[in-house]
Amino acid sequence: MDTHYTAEQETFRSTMRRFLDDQGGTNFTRSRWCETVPATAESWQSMADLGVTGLLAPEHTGGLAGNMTDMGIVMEELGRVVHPGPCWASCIGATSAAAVFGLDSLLSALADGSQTATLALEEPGYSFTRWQQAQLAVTNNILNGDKIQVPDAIGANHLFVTTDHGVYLVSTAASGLTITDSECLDGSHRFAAVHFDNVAGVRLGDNAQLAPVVDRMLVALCADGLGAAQRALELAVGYACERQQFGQHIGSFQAIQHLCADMLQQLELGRAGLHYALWCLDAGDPREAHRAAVMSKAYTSETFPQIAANAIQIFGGAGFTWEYDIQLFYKRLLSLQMTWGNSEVWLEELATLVIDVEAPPITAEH
Amino acid sequence: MDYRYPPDTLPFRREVRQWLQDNLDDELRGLGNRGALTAEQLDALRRWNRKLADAGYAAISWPTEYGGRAAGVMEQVILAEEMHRADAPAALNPIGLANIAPSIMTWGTEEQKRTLLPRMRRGDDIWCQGFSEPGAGSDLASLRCRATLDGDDFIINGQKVWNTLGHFADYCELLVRTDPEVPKHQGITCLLVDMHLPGVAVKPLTTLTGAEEFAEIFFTDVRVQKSALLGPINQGWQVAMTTLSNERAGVANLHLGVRKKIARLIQAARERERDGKPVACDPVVRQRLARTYLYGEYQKALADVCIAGELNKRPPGAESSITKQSWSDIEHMIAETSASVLGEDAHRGSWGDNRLYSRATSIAGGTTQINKNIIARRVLGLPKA
Repeated sequence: MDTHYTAEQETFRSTMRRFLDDQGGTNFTRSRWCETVPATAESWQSMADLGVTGLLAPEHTGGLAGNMTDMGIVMEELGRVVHPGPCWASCIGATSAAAVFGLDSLLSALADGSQTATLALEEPGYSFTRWQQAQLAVTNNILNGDKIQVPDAIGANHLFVTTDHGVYLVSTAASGLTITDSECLDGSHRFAAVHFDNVAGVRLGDNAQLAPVVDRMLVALCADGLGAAQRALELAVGYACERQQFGQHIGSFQAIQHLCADMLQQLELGRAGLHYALWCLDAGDPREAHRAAVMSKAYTSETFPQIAANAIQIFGGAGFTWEYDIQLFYKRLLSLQMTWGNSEVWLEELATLVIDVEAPPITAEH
Repeated sequence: MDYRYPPDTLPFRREVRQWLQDNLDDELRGLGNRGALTAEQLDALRRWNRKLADAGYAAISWPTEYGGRAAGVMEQVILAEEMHRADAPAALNPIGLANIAPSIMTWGTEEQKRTLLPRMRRGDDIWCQGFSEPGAGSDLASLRCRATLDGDDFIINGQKVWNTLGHFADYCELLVRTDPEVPKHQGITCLLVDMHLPGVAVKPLTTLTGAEEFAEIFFTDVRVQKSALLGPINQGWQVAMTTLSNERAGVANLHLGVRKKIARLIQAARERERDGKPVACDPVVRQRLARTYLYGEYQKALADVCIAGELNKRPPGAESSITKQSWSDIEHMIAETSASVLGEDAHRGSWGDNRLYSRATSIAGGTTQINKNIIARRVLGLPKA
């Protein structure tokens, strides 16, 4: 039994962190604020060289056949520098979906970084948790309707689309497809609204087949949030040790100390739940993985934005400027809060899992 | 990462489960050492304690030379889980076994170890700690209860408060001031005091729940021999810290207790009706209850991190320092959620007690605020004022 990453995994983390620091850290993000990152970008190719794009792809498609605990490291590190780009959508979402449906040539293209793809699940007017009951209409393999909050759709080559007839694969070059960048206060993540007007697609299977993919995506997003929240706390503590008022470091004031202790508590509880969820995704019990994923998204959406908000409070006026980085983390965590269902939506889902049904009795052992 | 308990712990779990099934009488189930105990209940708990001790379950973490099993963290956790599962009362000396005994083992004379520890383990002697005073709570080191040397004896004068089991105790691990002239931490001595000596007066302390749960102890010219010393004179603070730092394997008990209560609340929400519908259908109650459930599960996840840390011999990290206060936050949350689910029934019986008792969880054993001071300085490295 161990809840920690192995030494080998920590080495991978160091490599990842060094790569992102060398790339410029948050300065890289600032230089691409509100921009999309296409697969042709040099930065994306270096992610491929690092093995990130192929981490989850099976070996016979050129991937590394890694697992979600490995991917959790990547996401934490990306979150630490609020890294832009389609890793979440493409390397986790589309790659896992392509594996579910056995799309080997797409998997190869995603793994070598020559293409990216994403998942179009959410629909206007419905909670994200209703994604399996998609309304987007299909007649004779022709799609009509709307999707929203599609991550990194601009620049992607393919969309996995849930519909009233199951999951369809659609090329972003297909005629009748309109992808519109959605305004979002977080310039490090790009989302789009996608309009389907008689768009041709290929049916892959049932919507429910994507359920394990969605659970992976939820937990991965929380891992990104863990990295961002951890860094926000570090920056706040660092500033509190440096900034002086009334002739003392503000970090010596109990009001600041208790705020930081609260932030640490929220962070560590989240880390414990998240690491458990990552392990569950790899351990092969889909029901338990779903429960853990739902808890992680509900918890993270509610508490991690508060960590960044309190970090801004500790920075005082400096925290309210464009110049200081702390705002980047706040924005990243605010978009995490809303992406694919906020905490209320996921607490309701948790209620259906553990309050409505005769939930498994609370047992001491796993 | 692997969250599964090591498979080689399974036989021990089976053994404990079977033993509890064979030995735990129904009248003992749910009988705790919290709240006011009648003399009969105390007797029943003493008998139970002896049974536990004779079967080798009363102090499994102790070294074998003192009658323990030298059990590792996994066995301690599994015993706690099975005891909770069976609703079995814990051993009578929770503070003695976990906190006082390690100090005696570390600092005590051979005579003290030989005479005191076996009786503590069997519950033949009940132990309390004499630490807090009316003027020394969070600032424990400012304690003023005096002991002065008179030939080969100490003469003790002063008052202690918040003594768990004090009104039943046979022995007290007592912190006294022996040198008022030196800095406060350097003038404290630890004595092991027979509570039946003349001059010791115990008054039950009635808490806000109405229960006589703790005691106040008054010492008036109590004479003890020098052999009552635990550790060197004026090093009582170090002796006391040995005591307080030995609380690590108890994390499992925290989540086991709260998760059991949360399961009961969920069951109540399913069964109770309000406005012709189950309470579990109320969207506001659902949100509160689901959030409470989530925090209970996360307390378990946090305990797993602590346990795995111990198991893999890592020094305690941030997770250990937040466990107590995250637990007390959940206890507060459960108290509030019980009112949402049960309405006025939350103010009756065991739920009423629970709602009031939840206030103690952020005070006893170190307040949340003191804990945050410690976290800020020691874990986060923030500067001292």
